[in-house]
Amino acid sequence: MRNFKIGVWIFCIFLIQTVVLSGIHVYDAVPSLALPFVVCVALMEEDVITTAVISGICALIAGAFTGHSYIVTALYIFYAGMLIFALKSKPRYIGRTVKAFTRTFVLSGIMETIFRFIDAGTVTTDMLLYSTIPFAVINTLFVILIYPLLTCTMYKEDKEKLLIGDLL
Amino acid sequence: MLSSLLKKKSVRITAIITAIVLLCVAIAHFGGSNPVSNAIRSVFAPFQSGFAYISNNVKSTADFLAESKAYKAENERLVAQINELKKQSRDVTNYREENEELKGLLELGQSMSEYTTVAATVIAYSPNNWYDTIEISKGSLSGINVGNAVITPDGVVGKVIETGPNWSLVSTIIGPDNALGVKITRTGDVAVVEGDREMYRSSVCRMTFIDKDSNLIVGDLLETTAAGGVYPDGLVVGSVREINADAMGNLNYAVVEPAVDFSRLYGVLVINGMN
Repeated sequence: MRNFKIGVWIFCIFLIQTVVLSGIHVYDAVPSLALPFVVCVALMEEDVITTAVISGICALIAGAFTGHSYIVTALYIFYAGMLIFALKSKPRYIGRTVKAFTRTFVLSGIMETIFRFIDAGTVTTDMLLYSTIPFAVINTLFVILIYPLLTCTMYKEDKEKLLIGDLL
Repeated sequence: MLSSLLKKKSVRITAIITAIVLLCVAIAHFGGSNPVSNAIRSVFAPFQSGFAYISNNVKSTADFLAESKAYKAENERLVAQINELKKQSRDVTNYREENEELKGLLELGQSMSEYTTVAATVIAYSPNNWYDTIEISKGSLSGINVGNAVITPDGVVGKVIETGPNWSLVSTIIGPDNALGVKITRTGDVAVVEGDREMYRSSVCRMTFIDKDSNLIVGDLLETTAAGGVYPDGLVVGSVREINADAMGNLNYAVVEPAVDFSRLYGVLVINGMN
């Protein structure tokens, strides 16, 4: 059942991304749902294999749809997921929700900068103002939708187990 | 040993990462379009079509609702514009009809070059709402006198019975106190057409003093004779609608329907002298 839910999530993410979000332009940025989704999953998931598989599938599909270099997109999203998983417990004093916002912002900014550099061969201030920052901000805003929905649909049982564990 | 090795998490992670990288390297070999990208797009394409259809319908409904207020205002503006255009169209039709009437009067005036004429408009009808008298917009200041004949392109209207400085009262041919000499166009026989106290309510008049040998039939046209000294010769008066004869076949009188439609009279010509 959980695998089915993961499949539905990935399917819906990319359906909305390609049909709805591809038509939205904020300055020069087109929002992406793949990266916020991978970051949220990596933060919530306990198993490294599952994280790697989900990140890998999202990476391969995102590479087909982004319009940028397939290799760069796929590898970036995959490694972003693995990195977030590896660092998810650090620092301890910051909550998981805050980490979801901040890490999505940073990774989105870096990703858009890399893509623009590949396209233009240089990074300018206009690029940062009209492309990188809007892209990072919009993706971070999508975490507001994705994070609670993931918690309700895929990681509810884990949350209950944690609560029961605390009570015991 | 191999199975225990494969159970190790670190080995599995390494295997996944290696597989991903090798897959990416293999994809890089193809350059632009690659089998993985094509396969993914092929799988998603039908769902994208369906989702796009729903998304477009929702968007168009939302756009419609957002713009409905503007549509309503635009609709009201267009309805007002249509009403204005309809009014203008009616005005144009009225102007055209008036223009044709006035042209007819002008041509009539020009055809009667041996007479002096004054054009006038009908401004009021008889107070009893029948058409035995009418009031026109010109009077003595325009040279109109009592006894002047009043005509239209359709035929004879009547004669002036009273004048003021800028108005005149006309007794129509159906008025009970009016009488004029007429000639049957077909046969040349003469008679008298006069108003009748009962008949004028039906906008008809009576023809009397018909020669007993005259071969009068329904539909015969009647025109003026100059014998009365009021009307010029040859103006259309009306047509015979009904013939009243006694048991012996002697003509008593005939009912005449005037050529002029008094209910739709607008412009008239007053003959007030000779050139």
